[in-house]
Amino acid sequence: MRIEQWRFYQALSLIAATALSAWPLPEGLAPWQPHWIAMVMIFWVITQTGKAGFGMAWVAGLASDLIAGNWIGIHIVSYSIIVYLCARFYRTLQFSGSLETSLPVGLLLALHLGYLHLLSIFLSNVDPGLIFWASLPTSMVVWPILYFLMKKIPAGEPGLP
Amino acid sequence: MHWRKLTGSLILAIALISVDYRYAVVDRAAPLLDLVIHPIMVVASLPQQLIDSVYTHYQGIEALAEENRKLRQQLLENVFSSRTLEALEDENRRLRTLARLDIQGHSKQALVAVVTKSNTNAFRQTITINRGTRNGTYVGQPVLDERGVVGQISNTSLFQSTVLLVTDVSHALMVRNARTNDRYLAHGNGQGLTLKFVPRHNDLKSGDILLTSGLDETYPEQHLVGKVTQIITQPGRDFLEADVQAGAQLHRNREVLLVWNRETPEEVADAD
Repeated sequence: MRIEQWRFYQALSLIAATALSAWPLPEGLAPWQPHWIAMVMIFWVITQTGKAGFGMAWVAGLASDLIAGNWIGIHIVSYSIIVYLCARFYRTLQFSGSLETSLPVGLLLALHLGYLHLLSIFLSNVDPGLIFWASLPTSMVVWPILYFLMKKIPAGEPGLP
Repeated sequence: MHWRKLTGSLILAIALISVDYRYAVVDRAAPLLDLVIHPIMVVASLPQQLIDSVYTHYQGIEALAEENRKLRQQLLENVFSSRTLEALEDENRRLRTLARLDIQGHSKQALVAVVTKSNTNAFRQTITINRGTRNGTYVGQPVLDERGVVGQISNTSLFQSTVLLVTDVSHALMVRNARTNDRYLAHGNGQGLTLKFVPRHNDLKSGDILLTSGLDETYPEQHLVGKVTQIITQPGRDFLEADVQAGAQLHRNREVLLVWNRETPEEVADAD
């Protein structure tokens, strides 16, 4: 069986995103680190609708959990929900310009952050505070650029389900 | 029918979380997972190392000479204070032997480790260092920096170890007030440390210095843990709480010191 070309780019971009997320930033900047892994994942779900799905949510979630040093599975839950919502509303995300998609992508990431914030409060009794949300604006600014660049990948053109 | 896949995925993920939460599977499988993550981390830290080496290269001879001079001066001072310390330790040992008390001297074995990653996560406050079991590290090993206590190794594999910081919510240690010799239990709270269940009329003041007590058999005695910044009294409560600011530069360190505090075999001493 021939493995489709985009799978190769998908794996490569996920590894790159993992490396970017694991890149140590100075203390003050660390909370502003964009959600590279989640954004790369969203990109593949909306461009390869029906092909990239929950399997990727698991791989991306595992990578995120290992980097963060959380209990394994925490990121998989929110990533699965993100993948589901992306697959459900891919048309909206796919055919509007990359600038407009910044908003829905921001919404998805806000969902993810809210979930992590609640978990942190309930599971470890720590309120991480407003700074925990610092990664949201940076992600929303980075997203259009990332989307624009990743669409240059030959296999990254919007496909039909 | 995506929602079916979603439900399946969620159920599996939640099962995974509970298994990990309950049995710490990942902590046990960490040595294996590290083999996968380690190369990625190494690649990820390459730019930083490159910037560092370029920076050092262009720092200039004058700056280096200046630094060298300062270091020499510091070395002299350190030699002096270590002589004094040795003398004191000797005297201490003699007195303790006289008093038939257990000898708990200073550990001579220490190893510098480089911090490869700092995890400022809401769930866990950890740093990752580049020393592992091949250097003789063990779980529960104390980690210090030039100012004070950083934390203890919570997880160790062949090439690297995870250090649980004293500010982590799951971390607690016995501290001693340098002024009054009172002992307290200091819990991590995510940002700093908290002293809980301090008797209401205890002589604890803001600005008090807290040192390790040496009673928890993890940390060596007399190292700085932190400074009391705020005393919280609530009317009607029998106990008061105090906020403590950690003394060590927890997330700003580039290098930390590993200390062998327990009796360890000879090969550990020769590890590096």
